[in-house]
Parts: sequence; structure tokens; C-alpha cells
Amino acid sequence: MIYVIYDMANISQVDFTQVHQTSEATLRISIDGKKTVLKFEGDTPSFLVGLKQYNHSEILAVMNTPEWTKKEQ
Amino acid sequence: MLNLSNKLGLNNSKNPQSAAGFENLYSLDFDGVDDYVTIPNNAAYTPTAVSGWSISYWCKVPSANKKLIGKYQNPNYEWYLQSAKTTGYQSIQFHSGNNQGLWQKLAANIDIADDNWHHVINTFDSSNQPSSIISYIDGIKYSAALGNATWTSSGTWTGVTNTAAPLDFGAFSQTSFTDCNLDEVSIFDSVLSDATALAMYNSGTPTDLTGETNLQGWWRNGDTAGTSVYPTIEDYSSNSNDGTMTNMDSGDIVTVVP
Repeated sequence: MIYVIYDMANISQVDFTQVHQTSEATLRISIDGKKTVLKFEGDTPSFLVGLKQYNHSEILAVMNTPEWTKKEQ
Repeated sequence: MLNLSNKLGLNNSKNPQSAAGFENLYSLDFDGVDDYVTIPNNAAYTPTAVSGWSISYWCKVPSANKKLIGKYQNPNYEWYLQSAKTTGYQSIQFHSGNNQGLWQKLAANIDIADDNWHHVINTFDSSNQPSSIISYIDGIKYSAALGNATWTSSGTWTGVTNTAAPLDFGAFSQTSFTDCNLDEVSIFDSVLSDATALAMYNSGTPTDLTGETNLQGWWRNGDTAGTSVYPTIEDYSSNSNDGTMTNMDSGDIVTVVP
């Protein structure tokens, strides 16, 4: 699986048939609401070409940063 | 009392067994990024009954401090299970009166975040006292009375309130997510006994819950049909309250099982 951080300002360009996310409504959003994460297998969808790609362990490290995860209550 | 006999769906709308009889071939693999299974609210998942409440599940968790299963979605607060919290304990926390600040919690003195399969049962009698919550991990009982678990609370307890929050696997409030495998999740509207907990652990092999009394939910997480069930996670209890795999694909139904 390949993961990409994506700008929410461009979310209308996402073809959800080409990524594994169910819909815009179920996306994981960064704490500031400006970014989401998308994932796919195989060829890179055209709307994701040129963006930095992460493997599973790399994206987990990103998701554990304060930008994506609130401090434990 | 756990029924280990083959009753072939007497009380179920679906058959939890393959043609070969009861076997556990699949679990769900959550990526910890945004994978989760969501199951519509059902009052049976809220531990309000006088007779008590229990949840049983199998988990394989590679890292600590992760919430595994919960009925908790801001602003609806009921309960959630955690693999560990800083010190590596397994815990369950119940909230009172749909209030985030009112809660009681039992943390068992065992770290289950070791990337091995573990069987966990948490029981709750709905009162507010150190003995209200009991945990069984791999057949071993953990409680405040035994001194191998720590009970804590906050605020004045009035009881858990059923809310619109769905039951979620692999996510907490659908905003934080856990890298783990989950399998054979079941909920009962009764307090399971020591003997039943030990029988369900079954030396590390999941058992057939067909026909069990007080069974309110039983999600086999891929069994019996494997990837073909995607995106539905069938509820084999009489409630037939199926879950939906979200942000997942059929490849997340895996043959990694306890």
C-alpha cells in the first residue's frame, strides 16, 4: 500500500474509485483541517502524481505527530 | 455457561460455520492510519442492564497506547478499550451520563501490546465500585480485589447512557486509529463467569458461540467466507447488526488468526 498526504483544498479532484478511502466523509483529516491521507495500490492515480509517497511504517510515524494526533487525554 | 456444541445457527439468522464446521480462518488487519469498522448503535452495546455486560475479543497489537474498540464518538461518550496506556496496561473505561469527565476504569497489570494474539474479556456489573469491572486476559482473571489491576474513577457515577455513538473497531471516535488485528468480537448482556471466560480462551483457540444465551453481538471479522464478504462484517448474533469496513479493502481480511 502506498500513502500520500493530500491538500483538502483540492479534495474535489479525488476520484474515490482509485483510492482505498471509502468517501470524502470518512477521510482522516489533520488537526488543522487542511490535509488528509489517501492510499492506493499499483499505478499512481493522476491526481496524486508528484506528491511524496510513504510506506506503511513511514505514514504511521507521520500520523503519530501532533499535526495528526491529539495528545492523549 | 459456554456452549461448545455445534448447534448450527439455532438462534442466528446467519450461519457462523463453514462447511467444515466451526473454524476461525480470518481476522481484520487495521492499518492504524484510517481503517475502521463501524456498526450502527444498538442499546445492547451500552452496559446499562442490571444483569451486567461483557465484551470478548482477540487482538494482536504491535505497539502500546492504542484504543482498539469503543462506543465513543464526540460528543457521545460511553466506553472504550485500550491496549495500553503509557505503562503498558490493558484497560477499559466506562463513562457516566454521557459525560466525558465522569468515568471509571480498570487497568490490568499486563502489557498486551507485544504483537502476539491475546484473548480479552471485560465484564461490568454497572455499579461504581472497585469490583464493578473484571478483566480476563488469556484466561487469567484481573481485578482490583486480586491486586493485579487498578481501578480508578472520576466524578459522581450515575450509569452509562445509551447514545447515538456507533460501535467502532480499530478507531477511537473515528479520529484516531490503531495498527492491529482484531478477531471474534462478541458482546453479552450479562456478566460472564470465571468458568466461561476460561472456556472462551480455550488455551488460545476461539470457540463457537452459536446458541449462547445473552449474546448480543458476534462479529467474526471475515469468517466464514473470507474476502468475498467485503465490505460487510456480519453479526452472527440474533441482532444481525452488521458492520461496515471503512477506508479498507478486501485485502484487509487476512488469514492471520489466533
